[in-house]
Amino acid sequence: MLNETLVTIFLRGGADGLALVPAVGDPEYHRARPVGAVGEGRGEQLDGLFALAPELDALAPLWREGQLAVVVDAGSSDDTRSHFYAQPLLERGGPAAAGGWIARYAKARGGTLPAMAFGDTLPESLRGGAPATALRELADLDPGPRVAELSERLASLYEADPLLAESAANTRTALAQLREIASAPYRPADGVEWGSEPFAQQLAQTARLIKRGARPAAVCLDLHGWDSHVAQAQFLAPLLRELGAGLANFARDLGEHFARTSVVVYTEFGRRVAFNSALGADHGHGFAMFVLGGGVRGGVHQRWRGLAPGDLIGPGDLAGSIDYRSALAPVLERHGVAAREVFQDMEAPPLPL
Amino acid sequence: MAASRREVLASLGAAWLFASLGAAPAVTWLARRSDAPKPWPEALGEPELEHLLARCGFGARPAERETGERAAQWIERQLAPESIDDRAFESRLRRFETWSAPAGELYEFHEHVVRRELQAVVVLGAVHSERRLREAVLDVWRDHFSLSLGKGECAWLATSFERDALRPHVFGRFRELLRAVLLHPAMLWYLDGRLNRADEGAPNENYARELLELHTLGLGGGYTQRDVQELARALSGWTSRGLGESRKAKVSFAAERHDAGAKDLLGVSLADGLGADEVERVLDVVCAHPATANHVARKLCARFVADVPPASLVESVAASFRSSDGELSTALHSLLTSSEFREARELKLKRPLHFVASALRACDAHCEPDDALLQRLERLGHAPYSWPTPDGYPDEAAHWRAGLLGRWRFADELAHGGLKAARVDAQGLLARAGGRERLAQACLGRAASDAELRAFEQGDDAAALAGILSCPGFQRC
Repeated sequence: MLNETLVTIFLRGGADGLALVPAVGDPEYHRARPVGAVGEGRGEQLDGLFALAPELDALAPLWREGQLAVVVDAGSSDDTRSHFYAQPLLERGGPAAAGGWIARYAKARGGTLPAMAFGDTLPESLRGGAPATALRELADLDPGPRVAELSERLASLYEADPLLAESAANTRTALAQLREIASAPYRPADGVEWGSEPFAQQLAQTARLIKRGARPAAVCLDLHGWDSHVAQAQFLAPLLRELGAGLANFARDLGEHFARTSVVVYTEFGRRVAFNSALGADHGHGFAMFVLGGGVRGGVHQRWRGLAPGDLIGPGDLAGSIDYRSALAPVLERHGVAAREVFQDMEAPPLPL
Repeated sequence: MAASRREVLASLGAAWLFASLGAAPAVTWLARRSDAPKPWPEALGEPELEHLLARCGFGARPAERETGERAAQWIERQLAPESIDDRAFESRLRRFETWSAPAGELYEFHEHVVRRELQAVVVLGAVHSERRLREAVLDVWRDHFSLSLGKGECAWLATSFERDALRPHVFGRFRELLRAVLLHPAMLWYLDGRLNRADEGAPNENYARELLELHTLGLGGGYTQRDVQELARALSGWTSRGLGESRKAKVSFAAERHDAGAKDLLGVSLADGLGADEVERVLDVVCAHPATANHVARKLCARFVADVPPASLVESVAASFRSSDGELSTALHSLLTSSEFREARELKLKRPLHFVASALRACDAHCEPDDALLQRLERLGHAPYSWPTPDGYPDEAAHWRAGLLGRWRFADELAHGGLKAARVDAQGLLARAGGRERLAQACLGRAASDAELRAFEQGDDAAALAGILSCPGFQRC
């Protein structure tokens, strides 16, 4: 059985890998961050070297069940350390790629429901491939009979407009397919209490779509706010909790459906190992990723070089020793899509996760 | 005393709107009188004028065609905004208490009030100012020097940023605009410049990087990671005072936090010990860099000509920028009078604020922005000063076109008289215009096609108006 829905969570702003997965067993980690480092014995211990951030404790049960794969020091070809270069680069899946990697995956995967994103606009990763639509919330899909009629009345004008034809068609498809799910009441699985933050709500609505049988090929979510130039420890704590609780609730709410769902958490780059004078971390390179869901082999995947000055690149950043796409490749295969269809110029072999 | 005023305002809470509206019934009445329906003009303006109004004026109002002004005259007049009588708009702004408060006093207002009044000012400018081009170019700078109300104390500082840093310099010299932004407390807050100090470890690179990447040279403009670090050193020590301090919003140079050593920025040596003057040298260096002219020219062309503007046009606008020592009115003049601009008619997708403002203007609506209207903009993904990252709301159609459903909902609500902020009576409007075909022509700035007319024929008057405002032609500019 193939996996059905790929859920990606992009941590916008450059999430610090050492904040998600601190290298508590590396003495250099404590030397590099004398203030704000995670102490030994805190956070779920992953192996002799790495632990989960204590604020991600909600993920510990999934880790212990072998359902969480952690990639340490993933990287891309970015050397600009620019959000606005690196985000589209990661979302396209390579410097030469046209359109988004998730759009290419969704096109190859096929299926009845377009790929979708929660948010106001379509992310770069969903452009230029399969039909895709962006929603703020499912309730948007029940705009009332007048607007539904309006969209029908204008359908042929939109079909003739090269700039807008595809978007209009996707919107009408989503309206037709999801209106019923959008308007029906929903009760999450026992023990799941979804918070009111947009990220929690978007995960909740993704779970609802999957459980009601809509089975979109991909759902793209963003969690904003990782650009921690200042007081990183305080700044990131609530975000880490939001991420951990969200993922744990998502797995629990999906129940048996989680086995046919893949979840990928990634970002545009990691951050400088040494803190700046404001106890924040400036833009860096290597970052951490999480992969969860059906078929995942839990564990830490790393080619750790260490944190001594000689192990770092540029102004003192993790080297990004694992091509992030090699962590996505096995996920794509579980959805029945060959990695080379999505990442044509990838040379690194798939990670065994 | 300051605290008590703030407490009083806070206790008003959501009632602020009623307070601000209730305080000025006479002004509302006067404004309504002067906006009394004018006769519907017989014809459209010349095509070049229609293009300017659609692309660089947040859409046309019917009466703008009455004077018979030519496109070339419009450009000259609009590039000299002080010659345009805008008292009706300015008197509306005066009703916002925050708009006339000095920067430091903005902290005395409830966050919700100061935020919503600023967003209302942005919408009012797009819908009601007579300085059409100034509002449109101002909106470029809002994105070029993007600021998010959601970060730290920016909610209190952004009003002064818009009023004191951006508005006075819309058509002026780029260096003056950049200087006003660089030394404004809002940007020092937003990009962490206020915390950039060299006396307690490494300087904070955030502001330095975005200044090079977004505000001046642009990505690929020829700077290196080392330039980022050198610039961070050069800007260390500039800070501002905020909540919990006296003299809030005051920007100052703290010499003890500054890295006084010599620097090498973009191949130019900055001598040691320049102190507070070093920032002037930095402004000279980044503004004189050839990549800055290109980057700014590309921004203007992407907004007003095409998502991916022709390289030849970017180069000629950049050349005007350089030869005029960065005078923005000169660069804009060369852009607006170019053949590339004229030929780009109806090729761009309106961004949501543009769509909303142009719909209100096409309906000749009187707009009193309220929370509900601002929420509509938020749902369309384009609330003023709310883009989360410093690169500003994008210009590309690819970013915006997934949001059609929201536009259809907005058009439907507006056409059925459902927006309290701008009551529209479709029946009356159609009667004034002289039928659906004439109304469609006024909204689109051109004659409607047969296919369009067939779509607009169906349904009642409100449905027809909703159809005109929702059709693909009206999404373009």
